[in-house]
Amino acid sequence: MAKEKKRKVSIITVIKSLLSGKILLLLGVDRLLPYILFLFMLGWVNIFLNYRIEQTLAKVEKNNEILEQYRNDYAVKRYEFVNASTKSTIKDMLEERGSEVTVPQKPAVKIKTR
Amino acid sequence: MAKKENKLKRPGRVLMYAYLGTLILSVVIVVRIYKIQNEWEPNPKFIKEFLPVKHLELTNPRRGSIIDHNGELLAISTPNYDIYMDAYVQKEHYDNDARNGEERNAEWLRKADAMSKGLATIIGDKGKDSTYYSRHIRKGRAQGKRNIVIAKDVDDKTLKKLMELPLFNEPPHKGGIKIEQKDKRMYPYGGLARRTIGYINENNPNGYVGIEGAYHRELRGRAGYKWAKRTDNFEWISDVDSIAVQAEDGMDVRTTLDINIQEIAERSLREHVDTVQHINSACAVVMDVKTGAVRAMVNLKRDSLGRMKESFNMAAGRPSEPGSIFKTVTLTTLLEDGLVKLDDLMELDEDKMIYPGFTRKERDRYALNYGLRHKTDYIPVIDGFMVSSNYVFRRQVVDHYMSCPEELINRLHSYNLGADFNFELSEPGSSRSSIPDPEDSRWSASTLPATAVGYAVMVTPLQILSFYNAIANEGKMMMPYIVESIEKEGKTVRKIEPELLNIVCSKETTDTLKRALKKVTHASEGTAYESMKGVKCVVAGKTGTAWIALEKDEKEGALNDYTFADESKRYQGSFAGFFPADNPKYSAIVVVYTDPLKGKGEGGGNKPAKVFKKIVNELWAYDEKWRKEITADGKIPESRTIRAEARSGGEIPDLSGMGLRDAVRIIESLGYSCDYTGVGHVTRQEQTGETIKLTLE
Repeated sequence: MAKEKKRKVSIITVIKSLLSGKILLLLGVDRLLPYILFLFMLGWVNIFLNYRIEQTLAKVEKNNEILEQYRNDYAVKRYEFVNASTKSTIKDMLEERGSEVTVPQKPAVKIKTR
Repeated sequence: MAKKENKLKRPGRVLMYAYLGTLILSVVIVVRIYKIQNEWEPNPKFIKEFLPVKHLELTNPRRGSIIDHNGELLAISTPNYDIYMDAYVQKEHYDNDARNGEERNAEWLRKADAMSKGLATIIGDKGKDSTYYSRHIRKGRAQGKRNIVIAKDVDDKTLKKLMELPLFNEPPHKGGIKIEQKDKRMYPYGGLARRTIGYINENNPNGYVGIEGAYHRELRGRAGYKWAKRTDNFEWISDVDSIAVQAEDGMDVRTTLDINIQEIAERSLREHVDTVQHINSACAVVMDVKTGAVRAMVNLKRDSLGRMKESFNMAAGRPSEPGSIFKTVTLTTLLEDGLVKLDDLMELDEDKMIYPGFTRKERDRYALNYGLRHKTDYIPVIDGFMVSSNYVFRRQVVDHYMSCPEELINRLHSYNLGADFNFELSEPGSSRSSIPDPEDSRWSASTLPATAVGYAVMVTPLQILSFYNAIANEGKMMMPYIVESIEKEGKTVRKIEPELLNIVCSKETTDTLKRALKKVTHASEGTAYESMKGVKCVVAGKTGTAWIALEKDEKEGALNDYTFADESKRYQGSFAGFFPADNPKYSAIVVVYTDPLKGKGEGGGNKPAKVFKKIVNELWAYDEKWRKEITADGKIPESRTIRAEARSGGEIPDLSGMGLRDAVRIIESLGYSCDYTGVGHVTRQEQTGETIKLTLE
């Protein structure tokens, strides 16, 4: 009887407290509030971190593209440099400028320094 | 009092209503969530737009470079692009936009027209002006085409210019531009050593040629992949929760080639064969004596337009009957077996100029003319070698090996002449070398005397050169090789060391042979004497002139195995040797092949020897081994100052951040002189008249 009364009270109390807005107090949430708030904070931090991770990864991708572009530039410039350094190209450039410098006809002389 | 109570309760009532409203809303939300989870099927269009999209991205490795012995770049992959366009981009969206759609579509088309003008200016293909591009894009848009071709094989520089055009400078989902990168193999030295460097064509089983083909596995690297997902900002990022494999770039291959020596060899060869139309192909190889490293390999073949181009690798892949150049091999065998000495005398008797298997005498005019000049009936073996007498060698071989031909043949095998070297460079379509076998049914009585003078054997120029190299190297035959190391980011991953194949003869024999070979080039009666006049150092070498046998389908109506019906023959002229003779550093071979010729033909003492001489003279000027060193009490040689005249004037660009060498080069190329203080990079520049003063820090 006492249990039934207790249960009846509980259901009525619950409905009453739901309508009156005191349901959380009845459930003792006021004691758990700091933990609930902490959970919410963790959830918010998780969302924020995921967002930041995505942003960072997007930055990483952009930087990878820039790096790839630099590698491409390096390959192109290296090719152009070697192409411009060939004997025939240098010979043409010297001739164009009226230079008398040509391919050596005899071995160079070594001067050894101490 | 009641009014006051009512006043107090009103805020409470408002809050109560707000609370109840929220409570009802939360119940509705819970029920809705339950329905969405369990019952509702979303519209596929929304799934496409809102759920995270993932796709697999393949990352292609960069192919490794090929560099020469000194690190000069021979082959490198540079980025190339194909540009496509989704001509239908945003069209549906504009069509559904009743208010602004038409205007926005018109705006897009105006941008496309502006882009077309830019395309025509920058790419400017023949027949493709701005009208062409504009029409092409509009037609594609009208037909709903999602992948029209805008341009192919665009290089990096051109792409950078294109990226500033309208639509190019917008994201793909707005502008519709799609760019596919693919690497293109570039060769800074153009056609130099192209066949040796090679290429690959993965669709063709015979498409693995040269160094590119032989070292394809090391050069290609390994592809990678990763999963990418789209963020809310429509950016693609790596999905860190999925497995990703990083691409591994290919390794670099360092060859033994020296591009300067390659240039010398090719220039020397071209000077003598380019304009001689009856020479259809030629090759030249330069080798380092001590190691067997191939420093230059030139293979030229005349194409249908009459131009000599790097083509089939004849040096490694075309065995043929070498002719008189093979007499050195015969002489080596005779000397090593102790059967003959260079000063042994042989009687110049025409009755002895007939050999087993021959139907008539072979009058050796070189030997007989020698006898007439010297008024003698005898010829020393060394002089027989000098004038390239067939009689001397056929007679010696027949006299000493006729009863035991396998002894000579075994010797030839020991020189690695019958087997392929397993040389690194594969050459599709190449034939095998061969040495006649006494046990073979094709062996006849005439085979041995033919072998003595370089017929009946099929050897490549590289095999002949390896033999001559062994003589230069005191009898040590080195394995010819063309790649010396595999590298990754400048560090050696695998090094290929020189390999000793065999000792072909003793040092005494090689010294004796050098004496004979020097006579060919420097004695007045030597077959290469005229061509070698003026050579900068002592060369030891041998000429060779051989007839090239007819192909099977050419033999019909022919006079014999080498002669066409009109008495013409094809010739192979060659010269092989080493220099400086007494302390050899390089060995080389030059071979030319002709079309059918009547009369004298193309001998080894002519163009091949001249090409050889030019190679020697240019190497002599280039190689630092021959540089004279001035000591403290030495004399400075006379020299003349030559000023590199340059066009003066022109604006000096901003040199900040440059190193001194680059800055001086730019300044002097514009005709100014340079003065500097400090060490490091350029931080300041001042111009005073014709002088640019740099401050380095």
